[in-house]
Amino acid sequence: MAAIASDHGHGHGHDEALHHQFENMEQQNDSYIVGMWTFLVTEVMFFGALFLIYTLYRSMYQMDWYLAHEALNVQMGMVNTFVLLFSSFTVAMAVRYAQLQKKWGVLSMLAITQVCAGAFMVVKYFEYQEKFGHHLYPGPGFGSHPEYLHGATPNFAQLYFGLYFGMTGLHGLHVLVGMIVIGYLMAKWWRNSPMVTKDYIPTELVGLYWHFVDLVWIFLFPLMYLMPKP
Amino acid sequence: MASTPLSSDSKHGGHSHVQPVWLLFGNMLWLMILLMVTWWASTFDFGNVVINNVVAMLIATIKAVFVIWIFMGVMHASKLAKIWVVAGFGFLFLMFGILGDYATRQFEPVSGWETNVPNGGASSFPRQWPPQKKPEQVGENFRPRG
Repeated sequence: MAAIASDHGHGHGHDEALHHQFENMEQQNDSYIVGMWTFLVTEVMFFGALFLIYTLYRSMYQMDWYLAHEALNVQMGMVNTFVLLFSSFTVAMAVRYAQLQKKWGVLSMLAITQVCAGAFMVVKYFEYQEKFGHHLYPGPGFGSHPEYLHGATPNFAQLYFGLYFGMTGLHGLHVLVGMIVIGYLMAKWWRNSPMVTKDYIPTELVGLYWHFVDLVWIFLFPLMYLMPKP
Repeated sequence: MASTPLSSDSKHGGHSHVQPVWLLFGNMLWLMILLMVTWWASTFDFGNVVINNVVAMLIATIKAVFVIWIFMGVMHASKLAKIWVVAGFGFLFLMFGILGDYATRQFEPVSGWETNVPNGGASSFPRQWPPQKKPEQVGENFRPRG
């Protein structure tokens, strides 16, 4: 078995990316992907705890949270969801091009992804700016302009905005980290680094991370922006 | 002998499935349609708030499954990776079991944080069914028995 595997590994000139501890590329790639998913599962649990807190308090203060959520701009949320879904597509295309070893395909798709990520952050900036302007951030000054609370009890509305800023802020941080990692990946492709050109896995793993960021937003958008009236 | 398919796969850096463009593009379009459905569902009253919330989360879950299955390539991943993914989300659902504890215990009353719910905030969940009598004891962190 080992002899066959080493034939696979070294018999042809195409497995430069194979590390010595793996029998073949299939096993190596599988290890990387399972490893990445292990990280993503910790992220799922991390965000999951916040979704748990959200579920608990929203069920307690349904009407107040509904009133507080009216301060959010649904159009902006929709635009951001479109942008993230589209960027997931471009990342998936980048992975496809990486598998086909097409440098310019990868670079152009990752560049579009970066533009989408930037657009997402710009929209988020304007949203946050508006909320800060209306004193809707948790803290001593919260609710000093009651007209923006839409009739919600300040305590409960503050809890909602605490989670709004906490969850979307953490998500935004993930978008920022994604932009940095994608930028690094682009630099590697630009310089024809064998790390990415001989092995599509680094591009795939960055792609998995980016899809996860999209995944979190898929749940954040309806929960934060589109609450049904209780 | 397995060497032929593996060798041809190795050209792309190992055993990998190159997804066709139509599948990725179609998936994106489908997700966009589901996004519009999400928005539409939020403006429509399905009868009561529980159903409205369940519908919203159902659509979000369908979207998530398509992202995971197609964009994240779990469709073509190994069995090990698949079981890892399923187990990961399984643990998330297990964690949500904690809500069962909150739902069946009373919260200590805190001035200014009273809930406006039919049963007077006896439970952290504003449950309407099964219909519940107002509990005699308030302020205990257990449900009165008998």
